[in-house]
Amino acid sequence: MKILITLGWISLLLCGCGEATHLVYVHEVSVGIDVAASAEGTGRFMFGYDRDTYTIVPRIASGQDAATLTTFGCIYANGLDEVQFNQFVSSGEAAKNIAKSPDTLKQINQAIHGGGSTCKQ
Amino acid sequence: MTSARTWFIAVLFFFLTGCAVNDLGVVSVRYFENDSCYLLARESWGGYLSTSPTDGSLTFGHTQRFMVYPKPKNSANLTVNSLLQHPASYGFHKEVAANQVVLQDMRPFAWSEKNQGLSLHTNPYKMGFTAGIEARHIVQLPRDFDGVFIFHYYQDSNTVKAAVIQSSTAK
Repeated sequence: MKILITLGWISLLLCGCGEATHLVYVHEVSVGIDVAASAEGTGRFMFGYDRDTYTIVPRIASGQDAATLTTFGCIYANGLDEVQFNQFVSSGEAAKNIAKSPDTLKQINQAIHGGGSTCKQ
Repeated sequence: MTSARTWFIAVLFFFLTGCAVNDLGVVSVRYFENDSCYLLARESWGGYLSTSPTDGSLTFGHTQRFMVYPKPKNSANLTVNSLLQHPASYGFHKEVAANQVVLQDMRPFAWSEKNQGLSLHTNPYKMGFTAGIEARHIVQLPRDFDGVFIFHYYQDSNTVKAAVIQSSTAK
């Protein structure tokens, strides 16, 4: 038990260390015991059940603004075995062009979300 | 020499006990492709050791992983509109031989994994262990990526679809 608590503290201390080098979308679920630290994610110390969804948007370079993005995401989870994970990610010039086109935005939204209770398949 | 012998014994142990290291041993490895991406599908039972920087881990139990890599030379003339109108076009219907796929040291743009049993992770997203069941779905793009990436994953049917469009062709 002492080891688990120590690892838990280490994971919390390490959480968020360093500068992100990647744009990241994450959905994860654990059942059981989970002890983790992370350089590009979140630390955790968990018994039982946990579900995490998060995004990390990096700066385009050190000291500069966050990256330019136009994104759509849909995550549907029903228990452990029914997970749908849809992501549309555009960045840079592509993101600017897409954001200026309402028709394209509508089309992407339809392709990712589908308008139902689950994600578009 | 001692180190080499230790590695040899470790690898031999994995083989003899029904285990796998990366693509060797008791592991099913399949490659698929579409116009802009490769899909690597791995499934292993027993002990599985991955030495990849992306999903570096040691799992005892069952593991299933899908990884999507962009093709290094993407000459396909893809557009956002054409992909959205024909979503089946970016499914992975064509299986290819492993020797036709050159991934070098590329990091995948997306991956999904499900581990059951005991897992020890040593990768940028997780350093620690899990005892039980865990599933993880990740999209990761380099911060200088300029273009479009589409990723769909349906766990119940193990279906993966993905497409990459570089900025010059993203419309």
